[in-house]
Amino acid sequence: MKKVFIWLLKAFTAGLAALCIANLLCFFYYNLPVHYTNKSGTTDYYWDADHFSSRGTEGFALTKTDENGFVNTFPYKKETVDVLIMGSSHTEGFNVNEDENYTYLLNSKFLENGLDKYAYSIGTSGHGLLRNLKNLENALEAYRPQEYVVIETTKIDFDTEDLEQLNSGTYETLKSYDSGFIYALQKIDYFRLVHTQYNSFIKSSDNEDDSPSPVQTEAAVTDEYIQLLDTAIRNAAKTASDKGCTLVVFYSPSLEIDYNGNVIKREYTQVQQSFITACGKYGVDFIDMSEAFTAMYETTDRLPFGFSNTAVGTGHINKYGHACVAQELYDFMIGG
Amino acid sequence: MVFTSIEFFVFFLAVYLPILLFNLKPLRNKLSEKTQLSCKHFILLVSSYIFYGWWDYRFCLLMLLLTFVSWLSAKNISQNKHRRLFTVTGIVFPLVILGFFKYFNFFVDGFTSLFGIESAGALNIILPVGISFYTFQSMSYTIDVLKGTIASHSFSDVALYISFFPQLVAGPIVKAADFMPQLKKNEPLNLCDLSVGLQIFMFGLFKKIVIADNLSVFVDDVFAKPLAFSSLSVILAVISYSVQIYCDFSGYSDMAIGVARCFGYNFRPNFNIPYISKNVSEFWKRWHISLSGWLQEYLYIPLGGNRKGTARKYINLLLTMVLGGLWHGANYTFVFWGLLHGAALCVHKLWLTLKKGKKSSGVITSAASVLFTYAFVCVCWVFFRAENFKTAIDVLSKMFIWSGGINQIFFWSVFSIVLLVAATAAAALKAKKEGKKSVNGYYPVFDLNKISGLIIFFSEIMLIIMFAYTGSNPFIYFQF
Repeated sequence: MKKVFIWLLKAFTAGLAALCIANLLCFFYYNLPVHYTNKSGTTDYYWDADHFSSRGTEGFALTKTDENGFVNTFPYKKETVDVLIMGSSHTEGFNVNEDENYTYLLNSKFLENGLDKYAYSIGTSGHGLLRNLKNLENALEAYRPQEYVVIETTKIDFDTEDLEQLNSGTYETLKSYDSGFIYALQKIDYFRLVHTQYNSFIKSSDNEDDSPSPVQTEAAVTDEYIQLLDTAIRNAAKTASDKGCTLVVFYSPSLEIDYNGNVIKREYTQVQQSFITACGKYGVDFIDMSEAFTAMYETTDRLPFGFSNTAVGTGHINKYGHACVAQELYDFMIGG
Repeated sequence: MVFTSIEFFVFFLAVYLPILLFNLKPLRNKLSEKTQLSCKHFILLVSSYIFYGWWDYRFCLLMLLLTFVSWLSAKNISQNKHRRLFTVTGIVFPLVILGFFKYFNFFVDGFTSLFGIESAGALNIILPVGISFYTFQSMSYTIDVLKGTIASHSFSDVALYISFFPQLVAGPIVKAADFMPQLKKNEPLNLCDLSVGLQIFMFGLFKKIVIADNLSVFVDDVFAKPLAFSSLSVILAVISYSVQIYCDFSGYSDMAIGVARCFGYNFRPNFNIPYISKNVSEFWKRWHISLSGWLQEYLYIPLGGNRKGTARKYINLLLTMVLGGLWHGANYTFVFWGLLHGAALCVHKLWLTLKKGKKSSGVITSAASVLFTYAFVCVCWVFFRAENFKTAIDVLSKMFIWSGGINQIFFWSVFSIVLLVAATAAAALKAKKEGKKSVNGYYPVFDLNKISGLIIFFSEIMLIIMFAYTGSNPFIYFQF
């Protein structure tokens, strides 16, 4: 009995030591901040402020959050924001180094060309287009962009139910565990990674796609859908114009490559076309990154998505994709 | 049920704990040795059928039928009743089963295309998991009884030998002569076996879900669209595949060896650092040792081996390797892979005959031989991995005609190559330290009674969870 007790004690101590070793590794491999409910409503949540982050599960990047809990490390800052950027994990850019995300690169371009403009990103993981439209008014109120509000999306076809919730103000807010036991567990990087691995394992077991999916859904375009979409875009455009700025939606679908290495050309589905039509109708600028991404691939053999530790062309936007987006936005804003 | 699932973890406990009850003194004193042994074998047999039936319960019926025929054949052979008839039955029946489930459509397709027949009505046959492995084991039992290497055994022993769950679906192919004597031992489960078995299992798990599965992402990408990638990426992908298939299959073998060890059974290692082989003959002594041993003992030697003249020796070698290739799958790419290896073995044998008596074992010559053998094996892997000849030719043309494309220097490829080289260097150092001539692989097993051993073991588990590939990726050899 005594032997068993001593062995258990040894095992417990060894387990703790192993956890410390694993946690130390995670500091440089998977160290994400904890998120908190954003009471201002500009986003559903914000990250720990001034937090060093590392991520090696998809790409490898070191980043830092700013005083508001978003990823903005461009050294030059203005009192006023000229361009407010909203978006998902692609915009947030935890997969690329802090000086490689498109907001940083856009600001660099402004500075290099002597333009007194400043872009600020509140891009946050899990914030798709509809979630950002839900938060649009609060975001514009808080940051008061002088010229543009840009919303990034990988998807321009939606569920009717989601559109209904958006228009009726019942679109669900993402939950944050900012207190209690789960909050404490999140502070331990290794546990955070295990949770991510577990979720990914369960998703793959259920044959769900883990990456943000740009795959088109072939929903039928009904009158109800058009009406709901119209209302959503009209409201967003009005909110932007009321605050004195232009709403820009940029769409970044992934590129599919065939056996011979050629880009598979995709036509818009009817549902997607209806989104573009609605944008045109209410003066929302729509930028489709497909052509720019294709041109980049055809001239440099570089795909805008994927990293050196993932399948090529899938997952989040990589540094080449970010550079391409920054150039496209810059050309649009300066040209337009 | 696969070793890398949560179900298997529960299953393992559900099998191990009841057998552990036989360690209790009251039970040991109360039951006779024979009864204890029978009970343990019964638990293992039932659990092996549950393990196999987890895929499809109908597979169990097939395995049961095969077991019955093998048992009956061997029993009659040993009693000298219709010896010839039962020899043929014991060998041909498993081959017919294997041929029907694995090769029926392959041969029908070949026949229809040869004679230009539009359709001969291909059947929708489900390939039972691991059929190639357990049919070989059942034949091994019959042949070993025929040769007198072992005596015939009871039906339950034969059933356990064929269905024993650690090696059931992807080997190693355990010879009856190696396994049957172990069934007679009635040793209680012990902590030493459990500790060693778990560590070997974890070692295999690391190879499978950290190395092989992460590499599969890149390899699958390149083999799906080889012309999209640069030559450098394609070469890296082929090297990655060589590492992937090694870690996938040897990882499974290690897990099987580890699980069997937990229950007190010893299986021989199935791999022994194959990529340091100086020639193809050595490669086959280090790669999938249980299959090459099986093919040598039950195919090459019965065909005549090298006893019937030079020409027959080469024909036998070629035939053995072509059939070995076909054993892997019903596709001409596997046949061609086997043919390439067979031809290489013939060339090597010829070379040995030509340079008889001359010794050449300088460091540079040895290094060049290792590199050349590895390069040859990699080229052969292209045919093994590609779904058809077109893809294989496209991959090879990309490898040998330098051209551009997507340049993907995959992190896990670089990491695993560095790791493999370091592990090989460690094995070489160990061999040197121990004064051994040849470098052999070994399992890094620590004393789990010491805190340092426990820290290493727990760290290994945590690192496996940390870096594990979480997508779905079945074992490559399950398809065989």
